[in-house]
Amino acid sequence: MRRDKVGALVILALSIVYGAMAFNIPEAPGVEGAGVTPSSLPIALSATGIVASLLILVLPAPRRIDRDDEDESSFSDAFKGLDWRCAAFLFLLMVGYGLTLKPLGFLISTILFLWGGFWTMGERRIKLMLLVSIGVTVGFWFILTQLLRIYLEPGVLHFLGMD
Amino acid sequence: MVLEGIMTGLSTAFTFTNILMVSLGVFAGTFIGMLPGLGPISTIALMIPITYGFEPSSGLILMAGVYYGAVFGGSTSSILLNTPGEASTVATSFDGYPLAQVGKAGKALATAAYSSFSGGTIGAMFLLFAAPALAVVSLSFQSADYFALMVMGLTAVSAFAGKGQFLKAALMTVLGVMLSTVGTDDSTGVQRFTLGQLDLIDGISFLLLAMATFALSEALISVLKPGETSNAAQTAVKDKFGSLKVSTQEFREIAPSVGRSSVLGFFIGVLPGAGATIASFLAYGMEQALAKGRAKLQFGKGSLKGLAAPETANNAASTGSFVPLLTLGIPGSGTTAVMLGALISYGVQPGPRLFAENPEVFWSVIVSMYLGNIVLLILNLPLIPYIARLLAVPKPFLVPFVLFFSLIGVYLVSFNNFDIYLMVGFAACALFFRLLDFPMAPMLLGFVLGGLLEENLRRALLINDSSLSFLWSRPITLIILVITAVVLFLPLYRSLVEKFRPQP
Repeated sequence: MRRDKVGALVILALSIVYGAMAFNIPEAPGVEGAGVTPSSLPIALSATGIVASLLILVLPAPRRIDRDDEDESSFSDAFKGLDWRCAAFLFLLMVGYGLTLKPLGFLISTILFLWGGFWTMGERRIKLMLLVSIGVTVGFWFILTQLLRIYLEPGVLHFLGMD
Repeated sequence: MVLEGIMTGLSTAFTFTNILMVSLGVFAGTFIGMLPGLGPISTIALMIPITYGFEPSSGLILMAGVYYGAVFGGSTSSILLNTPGEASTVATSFDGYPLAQVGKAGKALATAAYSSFSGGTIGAMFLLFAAPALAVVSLSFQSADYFALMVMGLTAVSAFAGKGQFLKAALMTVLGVMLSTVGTDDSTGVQRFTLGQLDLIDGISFLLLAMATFALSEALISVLKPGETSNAAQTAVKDKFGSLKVSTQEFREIAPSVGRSSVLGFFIGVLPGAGATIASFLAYGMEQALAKGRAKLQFGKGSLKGLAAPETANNAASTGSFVPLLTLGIPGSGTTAVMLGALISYGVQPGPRLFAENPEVFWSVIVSMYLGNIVLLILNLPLIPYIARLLAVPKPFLVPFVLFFSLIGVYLVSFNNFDIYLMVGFAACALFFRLLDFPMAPMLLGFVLGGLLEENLRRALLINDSSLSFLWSRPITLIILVITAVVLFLPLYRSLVEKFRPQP
């Protein structure tokens, strides 16, 4: 399947779901008949989304001058030969960062996140990785908390009296 | 009145703090903008959290510096590595990279800097007269006209998206407007599309969306597509830059191109949706067409004219794109959409009232554009061989830093973990659509304009007793809508004709 068609299919599905939800938006009390209700624009958007994505699905591939018929490339081509493992790890790290930021505190979770990021990206010089992650995190923490007086979660360090 | 305004602007911009701001901005912009893959949109988005709590004029002056710096930084990586950070510097690499390959990187960078300076300065001069004039006219604009203008802006960004991209850009615009409807509806208090999540009641933050769909996804794309850029970077930086000098003869040669490209660039920049990319390609094309004999053959092989034209035009267009932003409050491109986001975060609502109520902001931005250009030329250019060493920072360190600064920048605004998860989700979606070659900038523009679009439509209908007659009862509205229709149907018609023409 052509890749722009896959994208259009996804947006078509989104538009349909969005439109269905738009019809269920409650009426605002006291503004009936005022022309635009909270659901008017969403319904119009959903319709536009459906029409435009159907057009992409139905019409033949546009010929492009700038890149030789690249739009003919298939969905699987667009996703082939990419470094998925590394990207997936980074995604996991980001979610993990969100999960640990409050309980572990800014300092520890950020050091872990940066260190994990360097490791995922293939860096193996342990000392350098430690130095950079700790240095940047502590420097950033110092600027934020001490200079700009922004509160950051101390997390577990709170129990050690470091807040 | 203009003179008085310039004086106001000068007195605001020429304080120690603000000169420091613009210098810092230009430096930071060049640094970040130079990193392969990170364009001006990401650069500005990354800088927004840092400037929270600044005076609006200082914040904006910093941002203007960041913008110029980022555009110049993008040109640097185009010239040295042939990896344009974003579309508007693609044309720069046509002649810039060949020059760097023959050891004339210094000359190419200097030419780019002088051209950017000229384009930016000439553009700022036009802006000085165009913006106040348009601001006065726009004071008479009503909701109906605004509504029409937004429709035009949203349509134009798709129409100018390029061949074969029209429908995709339109879809992304619609998606952006859809995202803007998430949260509590301002005028009725009704909750929409919050999925029962308390965290979505206030809607999606612009910064979050910009960071996720640009900074995060651009960094992740560079991970997914491991290229040879880091090796190329190492050699490019280690290699000799060559002299930064441009001879008088060469100046004379490029001067006419710079003049023409400035004017062309500025006017294209003013058009909503067009912007720096189209301006740079058109300027390159124009110079190539005008060149004769041997000069023509030089294009693509290291012609100074071919380098100067797109560089001048993209800076002039960047300046031009501030006209609709400052006077109407309508961003015409992804980059100015981020600038609008920054402005709103400082508590400034651009538009005709900005000119009347906060003249010091209005004028200091314009004056700081000159200042930004000067800083770029006298401070950045001599330092560029050193700044370029940043290109050699290994990717294993760079990518985690970009991710960290994006996540923490958004987190520090809300202190809500949910925002981090939402960003990761948006980044994943953006990655998916980027791989399918769907453009992201129209989505961002749709998101910014979506809220304003609905608000003005409501107001227009309220004034008009719920009748749609406001669409044709005012001549300004009607003219804008007619232009929109032409802009919309011309490419659609052309692409349809082409699609159904029998293949040879």
